[in-house]
Amino acid sequence: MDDVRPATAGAFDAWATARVPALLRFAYVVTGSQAEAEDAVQAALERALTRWDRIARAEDPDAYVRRMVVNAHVSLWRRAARHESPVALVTLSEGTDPAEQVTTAEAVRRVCARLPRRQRAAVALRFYEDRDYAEIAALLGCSEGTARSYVHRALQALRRELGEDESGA
Amino acid sequence: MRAVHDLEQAFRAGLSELADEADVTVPVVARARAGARRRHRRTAVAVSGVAAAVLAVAALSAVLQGRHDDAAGPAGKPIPSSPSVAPSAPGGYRLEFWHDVAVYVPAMWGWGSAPVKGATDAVLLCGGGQVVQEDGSRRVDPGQPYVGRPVPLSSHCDAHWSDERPQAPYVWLGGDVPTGTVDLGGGWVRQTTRVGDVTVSVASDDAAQRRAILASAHRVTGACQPRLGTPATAGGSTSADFVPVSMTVCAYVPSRTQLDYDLVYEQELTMGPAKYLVDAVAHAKPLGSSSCFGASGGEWAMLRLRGNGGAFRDYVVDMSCPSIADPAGTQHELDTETVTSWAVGGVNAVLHGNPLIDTPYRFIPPQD
Repeated sequence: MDDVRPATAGAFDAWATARVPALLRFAYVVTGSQAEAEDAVQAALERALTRWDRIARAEDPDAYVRRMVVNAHVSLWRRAARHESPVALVTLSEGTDPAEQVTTAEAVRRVCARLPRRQRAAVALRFYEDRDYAEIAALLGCSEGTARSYVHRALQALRRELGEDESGA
Repeated sequence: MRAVHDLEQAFRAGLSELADEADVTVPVVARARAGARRRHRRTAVAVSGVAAAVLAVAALSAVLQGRHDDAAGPAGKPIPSSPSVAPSAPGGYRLEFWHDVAVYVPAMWGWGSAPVKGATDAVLLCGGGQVVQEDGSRRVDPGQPYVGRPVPLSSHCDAHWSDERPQAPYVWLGGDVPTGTVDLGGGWVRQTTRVGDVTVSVASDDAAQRRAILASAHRVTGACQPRLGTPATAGGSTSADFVPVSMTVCAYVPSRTQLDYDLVYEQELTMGPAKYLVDAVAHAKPLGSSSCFGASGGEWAMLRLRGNGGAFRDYVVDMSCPSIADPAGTQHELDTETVTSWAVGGVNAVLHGNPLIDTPYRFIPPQD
């Protein structure tokens, strides 16, 4: 037996089919992992399905599901964190030949891998989703100033990654 | 040096390139449908199990219901203080719950963690030595007795907990601990028994204390359901005349399967904290219409307030999308005022909030 009415199920399917590619891309940017992105989106959709009647009436169901993607990701990470060492992520750029030509795209990737999860989510919302700071603050449950600070620090990190002195020297 | 605009463009281009690597053809909608069906079936089974348990322990439940009346405290306290936090049992003991099992522990003990099986099947004690105090603060104090639940307090985990001699007595509820007796040396002994599906371990160098605590372990039908398929919704009385006489805190976290939610903490509070909460929520800032729709996949808590004549009011707290929903369906900001009356004692050892989202200071994130 399914737990949603057929009409609800049909509406959910139509919405989900249209939105899943974008949600998977967003989740991939937030998590940096295909498996984690799939888990996060699947968990978010499961929960959205059970209360779709209510979510569908909202002004922006995407925002709700996007928040659940982030929450599902955090929840999955917390469960695995007992065995996960974040050190592996932060050593990606170590040992690189200084003479090696570093492309900007690679620098972005490395910076994102080193960012704390909260900050990475802010960067993804700002530069991938083009959300304004008020929306980012609402999604992350922080002040607008905090959201700005996350993004500003990420920009500084990218500048350092590109080998530029922040003082301009 | 590049302009900020150039750096922003670099992020946009880099993240866009990263996003294009995602495989978007995977059938996650079908998987979600299958998952929702499994969740629905599990919920149905859980509900029937609870119904059977209600019949089996009706007499004991009646005894426990009586504790609500005993717990009534003075109204009108500006901020609830320790004596109103947990009802004391005769002899200075308090009742602690894990799922459908309750046990009496000394009232002054703190709250900590218990060993739990991790992703690789190794059983780990995460955050051993950290003890949550009555006021919700956390202290590293191996010398303080505590009651532990299988919820990590830290990402620092110890795989060699089994034979370690403690510096203070402890009780572990629901830990992944084999039943039996372990001699920890120096007169210390850990004894583990099973009550229903729940393990109860007591380590102490006082045999009488071990026996007393283990003998008090019993199955109960508490005020909170031990497992729920979906988060509760706020409900009950919306009347402005509603006057609470007690409050039950039921805290839940996603289960290991992520398909449902496990009860991790249950606590009875008195009239003072209940009235404080009603007033705080009434004055809390409402959230926007599309920011939260109830607990959204992470930790959450139901706060059930009971009034006279069978009246009740349920508030639902979503820790992942920090908010507290009132019975009218309005979600309010979760701030210091709306958590201070109920975020006391052991609930701070099991609810941490979301590392991506700011939560009020009373909830302490797991320490790295």
